[in-house]
Amino acid sequence: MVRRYVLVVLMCAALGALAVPAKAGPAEDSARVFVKSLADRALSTLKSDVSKLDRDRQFHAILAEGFDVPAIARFSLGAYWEKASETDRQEYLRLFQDLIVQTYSARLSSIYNGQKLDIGTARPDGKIGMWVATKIVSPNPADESVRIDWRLRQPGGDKHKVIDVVVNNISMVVTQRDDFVAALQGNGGDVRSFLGTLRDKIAKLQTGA
Amino acid sequence: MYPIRHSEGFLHGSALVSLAFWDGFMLPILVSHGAADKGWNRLLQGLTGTSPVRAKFRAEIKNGVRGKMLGEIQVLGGRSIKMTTLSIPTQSKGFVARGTWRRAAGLAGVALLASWLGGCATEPKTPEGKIAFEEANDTAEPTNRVIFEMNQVLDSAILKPAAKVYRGVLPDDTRAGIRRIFNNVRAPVTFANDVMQGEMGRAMQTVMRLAVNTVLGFGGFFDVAGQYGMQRHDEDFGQTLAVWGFNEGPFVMLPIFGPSNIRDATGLVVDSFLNPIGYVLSFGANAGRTAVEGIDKRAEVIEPLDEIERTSVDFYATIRSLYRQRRNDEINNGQPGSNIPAPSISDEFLDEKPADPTAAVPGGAAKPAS
Repeated sequence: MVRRYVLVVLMCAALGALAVPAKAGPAEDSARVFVKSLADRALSTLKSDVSKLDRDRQFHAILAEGFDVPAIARFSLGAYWEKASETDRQEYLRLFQDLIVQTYSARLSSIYNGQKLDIGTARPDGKIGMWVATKIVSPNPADESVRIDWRLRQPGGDKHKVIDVVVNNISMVVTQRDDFVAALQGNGGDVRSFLGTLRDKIAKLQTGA
Repeated sequence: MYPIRHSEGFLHGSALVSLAFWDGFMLPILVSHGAADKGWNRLLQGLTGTSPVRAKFRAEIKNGVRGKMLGEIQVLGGRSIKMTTLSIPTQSKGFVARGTWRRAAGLAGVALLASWLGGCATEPKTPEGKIAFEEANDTAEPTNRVIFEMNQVLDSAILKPAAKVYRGVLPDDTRAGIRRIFNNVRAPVTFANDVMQGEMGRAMQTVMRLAVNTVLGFGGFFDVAGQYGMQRHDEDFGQTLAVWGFNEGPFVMLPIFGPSNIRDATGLVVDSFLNPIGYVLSFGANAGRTAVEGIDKRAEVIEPLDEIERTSVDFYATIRSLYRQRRNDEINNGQPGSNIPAPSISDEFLDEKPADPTAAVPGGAAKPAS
């Protein structure tokens, strides 16, 4: 009984897997390829036995090429973006990149132990966007797999850029914004002093403190 | 540490933190509010016949901002910690403590003071502040932050070290098995909530899993049902309330239990009555179960939580955000799209108005490959 059930599920899954590529257009395919190459680069950086400085440098390159950093940065500042002066915005964008590199370089290398990324399906998100569903599979079968959805867009019309990474339905960009906005709210909305806080944070993370 | 089985303690007023020593583990167990304190204490005394640990604090407010706290913790069997009179500011930053006990107790007092002083956050005046305030949904933020700090102290003094020892002593497989037993024990709660949510298929699956794993899996140590494709899921009364249409209510930071909201905190209480094992086991055994379960959960997130604390600008706000997003995900049973920015926000992302306003946010992300 149970076996038959499993078999039916497996057959449905197999049929589903066959059906998907037939429906997927070139945009879906290119989105999947893009996420795969981005993830491969990140994973090979984590795998390689390089110094923290080199690892950070490689993450910087991956971030700059694969992510729409200005859009994410702007969103992360919430309504305070409108309040920030042009100079502050420039400074913030620079700091934001450093912080993201430091944050994820540390977070990812602390949890990495040989996981692989399975690329799933892609589907459109609005006019110029795309969702790519993926799964992190651990070499240890006891670990539950982690689901990661990549939200992409094509700002110039050709190249994909990541605008959000959603881990088990938790949006990294929303989390970042909630963190920043609370910090800004806590200091009375002073963007300047917030930038100082960011600088301190980055300095601490760079030295591995 | 003393092998004392039960404990009680209370703060005058709203917050109560009770710390127990149980089989060598210092164990935080009980939190209640206001008038319930007396009831709890009487109940505990009735159960234990005595009150081995007693913590008593008195807080006074002076000049509106600075408070004085008197405290005493008495442990039956020889140890007594008396707290000197402390003059503490209502913001915990300025509070210097000697010793963890004092600090934890002191912060509890501070939490109390803060709530007495009208811990409700005042609505900010700037437009950005107003948006942030609405978005945070945290009307008791000052009090919550103090409780959060108090939890941090307790965590670094008790829970985290215990979790490290636990992880160091037991191999991964054993801990995974123990976790499965806890999950199995929790199955009746999940079942009750499956039914209350009208999810009959999932309810059946929960019963099947409970039966199979209890009998064939040695009480749940092995997930036999899972190997046959019956995957585990979790439900709690907070989620049931959400399914019934209750909104989350303001965010609250519970002492010891951590981030929650009015809806989920209510659910926590209801769930504690839904589990038959709570009635079968003695009070001490239940407290031990809760403690080991808490230590096991904590042991799984030692590094990730350290990293989040290290990398976030505002750790409290990050935890608050993660809690809400995770709960949304759980309420939607893992269906995608629960935390994706609303259309107006994705417009900001896209820098242009989509032709169809609903098109910016799809029903959710694409399904993962399976």
